[in-house]
Amino acid sequence: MISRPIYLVMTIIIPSIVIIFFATFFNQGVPEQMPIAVIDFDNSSTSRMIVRSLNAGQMCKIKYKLTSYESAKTNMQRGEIYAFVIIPRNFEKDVYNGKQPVINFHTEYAHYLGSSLIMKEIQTTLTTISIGADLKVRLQKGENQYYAMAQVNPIANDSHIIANSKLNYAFYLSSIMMPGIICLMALMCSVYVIGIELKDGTSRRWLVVGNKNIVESLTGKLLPYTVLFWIMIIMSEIVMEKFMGFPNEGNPAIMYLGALFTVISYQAVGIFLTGLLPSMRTALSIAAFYGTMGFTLSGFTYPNAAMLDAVKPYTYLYPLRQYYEIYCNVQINGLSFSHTLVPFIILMLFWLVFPFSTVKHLRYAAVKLNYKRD
Amino acid sequence: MKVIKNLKSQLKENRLAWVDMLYIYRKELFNIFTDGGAIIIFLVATLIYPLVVGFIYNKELLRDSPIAVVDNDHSALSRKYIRMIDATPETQVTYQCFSMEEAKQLQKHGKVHGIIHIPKGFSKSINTGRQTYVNIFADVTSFFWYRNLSVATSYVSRTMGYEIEAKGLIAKGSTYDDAVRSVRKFIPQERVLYNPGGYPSFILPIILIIVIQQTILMGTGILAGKTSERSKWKDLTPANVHYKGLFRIIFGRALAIFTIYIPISIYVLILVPHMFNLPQLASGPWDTLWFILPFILASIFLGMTVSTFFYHRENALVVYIATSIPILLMTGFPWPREAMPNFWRNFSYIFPSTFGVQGFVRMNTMGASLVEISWEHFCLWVQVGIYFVTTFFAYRWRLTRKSRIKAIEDRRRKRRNRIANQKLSDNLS
Repeated sequence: MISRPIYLVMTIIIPSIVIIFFATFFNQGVPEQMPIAVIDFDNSSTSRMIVRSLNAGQMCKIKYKLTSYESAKTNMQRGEIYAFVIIPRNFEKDVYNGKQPVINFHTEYAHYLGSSLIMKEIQTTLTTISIGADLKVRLQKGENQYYAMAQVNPIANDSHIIANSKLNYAFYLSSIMMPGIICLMALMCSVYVIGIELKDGTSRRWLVVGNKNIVESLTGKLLPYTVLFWIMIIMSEIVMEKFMGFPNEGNPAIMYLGALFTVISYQAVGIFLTGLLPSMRTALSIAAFYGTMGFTLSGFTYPNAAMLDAVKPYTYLYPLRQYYEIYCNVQINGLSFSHTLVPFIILMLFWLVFPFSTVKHLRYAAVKLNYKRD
Repeated sequence: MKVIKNLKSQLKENRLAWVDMLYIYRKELFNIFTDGGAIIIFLVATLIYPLVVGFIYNKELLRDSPIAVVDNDHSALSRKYIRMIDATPETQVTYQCFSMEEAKQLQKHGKVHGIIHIPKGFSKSINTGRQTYVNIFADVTSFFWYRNLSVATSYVSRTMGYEIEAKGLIAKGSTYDDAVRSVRKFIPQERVLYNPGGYPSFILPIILIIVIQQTILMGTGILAGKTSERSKWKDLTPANVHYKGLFRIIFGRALAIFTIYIPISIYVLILVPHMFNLPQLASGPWDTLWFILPFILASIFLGMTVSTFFYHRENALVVYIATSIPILLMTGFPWPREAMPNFWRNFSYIFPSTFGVQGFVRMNTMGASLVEISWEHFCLWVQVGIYFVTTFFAYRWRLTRKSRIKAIEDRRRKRRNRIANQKLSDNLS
């Protein structure tokens, strides 16, 4: 089946491009040096110190020092800055007089991730400076440093972020997105290769090669693609672990098995769709629609728990959701195979329920050769 | 008057060209509405997809993620800490465990998405004036779990810290007001200017623009593939006397798709945001439409250029579907432009969606006027120009005879297939 270049594109070129894209696109891991602006109405040594501290952070870089709220807002609307900080007039004086001035920092959440990170850093920096000012006063009063530190910050948070200590955001996205797109291609490909037999009118020959048994013919047809896509997903997992340095707590063999199960499940859905709608273009359009919804519904971008109750049952229609479950259980939480049986069993249900419900119809269409041209 | 007269005479001279173009326009519209695949892509996908996605993300803000607490201190202060954590909108204490092991098992099995461990001696340290700490174990299976836990704990630790410090100062003899003032020298205050709604209203406008671009690309590819398949010589145009002249064909086709996309854009970019209560700070529908006009034209011409490589109608779908998510990531909203590698940042300028999303989101979500997004608008018009030229050359290449040699070979192969089929049909039935 190397007769058409599209097969090569589907099985090797697109998955390879996807792997290369995700491997290089997130090479920074955490966004750094995102531009912000500062409006310093005070212009005192304290306010300048605050500006310097903000600039020294990892996430933010002060791109503009502006003089009015309006210009800062315009800059934000032009997409040049993600946030701006306003230091009020008489700031230093008010701090020393104990008047508790307010530093407003303006953010937007149109860039959800970038803004969240910037907000956290500005908040932390300003709080630290506030605490530092308190500490300075206490030290001047002659308090012991250890004691003073304990007084100004009695409860410290000790974060343990197991498995992703640098909070690499790419890790959240790529680990499912890469296999997900490859699985989507597996779905499209299975619809395509079966559909093309019906469309070109070669389906009878195909059946004869498979001993006139539709199950045997389908297996023979799809097996090479199963292996190809499986290898592609394994490659993506190896790239993630070795090249991008994503942590893996569990046994990679279980992940590979999970990938195989997911690919076969997607192919099963492909058979189901072709059987349901033997017209290739309709089946492909529906498959595309179904497949892209999977990225939203499988719950790795937006947790399933936050979805409406009416939507939740539909998430089970996606093998990708089970793959995500296996990934959480095995790669992140390091559970053994016996603890992750449920997603594997659900994936096996996909193989049984989906293809066999429409396989008869598919055989009928393959023999009848009644492909509609319009 | 002279100009009008000139125009009139010109029109008369080129009457045939206009007739041809309008004929092609009509024919293409007819093609679209009689083709099941094209209708699914152009109409059903654009009508239903935004609704379904909007419905899934309908629950704004993610609240009360379940967490476990291990309290080894068992004091009034530790219990207060736990109560405060429970009271935050971000987290909810669903399990109180006796050991870390138990809590870790719960997290491993997905029962909780975060653990807070309060060590022994927590309140003793506070009461004797030493610094103490709480251990936080975040769940990394999703960014949201980490975010909620970290927001909640940093808020509670800070607030309780201020309280303890102020109490200490009061105990030393300062007044309440002085104590409160000296623990917080100044107050950092966040003001959210745009999109306070969180994740759903962040991602939806981006998806809307991507849907428009991807359906245009797929649709043009499908239509071109279809004519190619039907035609005897795998031509890009049907055998018809009116299909002559590159400009007539290009304009006729582009106009047909453009006509369909006027109502679709109004629906997707104006009605859908209204239905799901997304931020709509754009100054008016006309501004949005004026901005989106070059976006649609650029998408159409890009689609027509690429469509010359599709000899089969189904191929377009397969190729474009895989690109949707990388294109979405390259728009600069899910992942900041500053953090992209240079290669991909430059590569993203190929797609109209990069400018389209930038302009549309800044207009609708952040209230920018056409002045603030003039750069994106300009770039889109440049893309229209460039892709029109590429369409011209690509069509010229496909309509020359050279590319037909391949088609003849294909026809021969098909005939062989048909003969082999005939022999086998007796075998089967």
